[in-house]
Amino acid sequence: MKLRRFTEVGITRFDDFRASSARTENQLRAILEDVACSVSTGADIDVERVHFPTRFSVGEYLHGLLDDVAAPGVNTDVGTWTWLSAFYFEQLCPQGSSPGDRPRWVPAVDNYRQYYRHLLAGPYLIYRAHNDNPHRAMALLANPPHQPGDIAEQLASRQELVTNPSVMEVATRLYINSATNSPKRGAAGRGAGSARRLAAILNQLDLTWDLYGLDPDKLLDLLPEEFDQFKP
Amino acid sequence: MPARRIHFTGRRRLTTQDVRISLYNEAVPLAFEIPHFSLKRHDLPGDALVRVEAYRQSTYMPFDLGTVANVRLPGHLALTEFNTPDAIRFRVKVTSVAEATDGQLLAVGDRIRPAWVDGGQESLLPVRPASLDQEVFRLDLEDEPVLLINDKIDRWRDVSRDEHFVALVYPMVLRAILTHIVPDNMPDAEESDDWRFMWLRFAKTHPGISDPPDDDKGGDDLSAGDWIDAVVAEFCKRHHTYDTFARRWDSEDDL
Repeated sequence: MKLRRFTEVGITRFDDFRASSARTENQLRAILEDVACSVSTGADIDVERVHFPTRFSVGEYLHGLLDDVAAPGVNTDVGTWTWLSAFYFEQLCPQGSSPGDRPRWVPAVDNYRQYYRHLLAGPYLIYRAHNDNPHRAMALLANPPHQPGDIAEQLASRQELVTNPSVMEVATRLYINSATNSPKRGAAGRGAGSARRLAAILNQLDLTWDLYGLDPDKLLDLLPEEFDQFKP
Repeated sequence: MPARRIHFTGRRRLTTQDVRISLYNEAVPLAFEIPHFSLKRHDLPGDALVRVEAYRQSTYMPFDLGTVANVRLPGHLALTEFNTPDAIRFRVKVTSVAEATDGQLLAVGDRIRPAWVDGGQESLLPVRPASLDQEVFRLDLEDEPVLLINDKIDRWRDVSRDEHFVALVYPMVLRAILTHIVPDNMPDAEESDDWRFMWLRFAKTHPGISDPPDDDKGGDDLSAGDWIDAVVAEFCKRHHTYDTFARRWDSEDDL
């Protein structure tokens, strides 16, 4: 199907769809196909019904789809991202789960803290920021698309952290099992050495150290003992 | 309440004496340049790295400027991550590369307000459109105050200047901002570029308003709450906010 963008009418109908307790596949298809709900983006892009096992696969696919297009602004357009959310709705809201709040579906492009919460734009932005070595950001991309997880919640909301290659490298070394590419136990939550604690420690280190220029090994050395349990 | 900012000994503080930044506020994309940059008075190592960062709320763009001994000041640098010029701030960092202190910050200039090159000036309270769903407006205090107006309103900027909007919204906005500052988040005396300093200076332009209390003691001294009430009251008098509202309200009754 050709990539489209929702109009205001389409966004409102999609909001109503998600809020309904009796959502059906037919209703969703109607919204996607109704010409009142969406228009062409102006870019000739084919979107496929790809299965995304992880947020990494979301970022990889959408980066390939959107980053070399002739229509500028497509990759920051609220209508386009919302349409994509609807297109992949079944994967982003599996049977029995709740859609969650609006920024997950309609991107808050003016507010970076909210922008990263979008279930598709979030992984896309992270992947794009590290497209020279996207595996470095695996800490934020290892989870399934509908469950960004606590590590992403703690680290993705600040652009200076999420775009920082050293911080992302360190987070991945700490919290991702390199054999399975899945998060380690204890990485989420509030415990010692968790991602929440890493965000807090980075805030403190930011006052004294130039985090952007620090080598990942050096940054790991600066972390207090509570992180030793996660260090490779 | 936010803690006072902490100064770290040994780390130099860069001010407008050291760096000034110009923003091309009508360029597409927005762009900036650095017409003045001098670190001479700080005695920093020549091989220390220099970087400037543009930011607003949680949006961020870094630019490398070389070393202290060999600063590169390119012309226009595009700010592709920012779509409006309001409330963009800059941070300059000088970082050690010496073995013992590699990566440590040697000097920082933060919350640097750029001068607008293309005319106009930044308002004390920047106004920006935002995706707010059913909220008409929101005061964002994540960093410097920014008034967000729902971007579904076609003439969102006109809304922020509408006399009825001003009458109903701005007293609350002023109260919220001053409550955020006084007494637990006061600026240092020398930080005249600091947004908090500017808002307190604005407060003192009102008749009878002197310096705010720097703690929340009551008694004979004016408490923070009383001081803020006094400022808001004088602001409302200056702008005839009740009269504006009443005129509109009464005229609707006549319909």
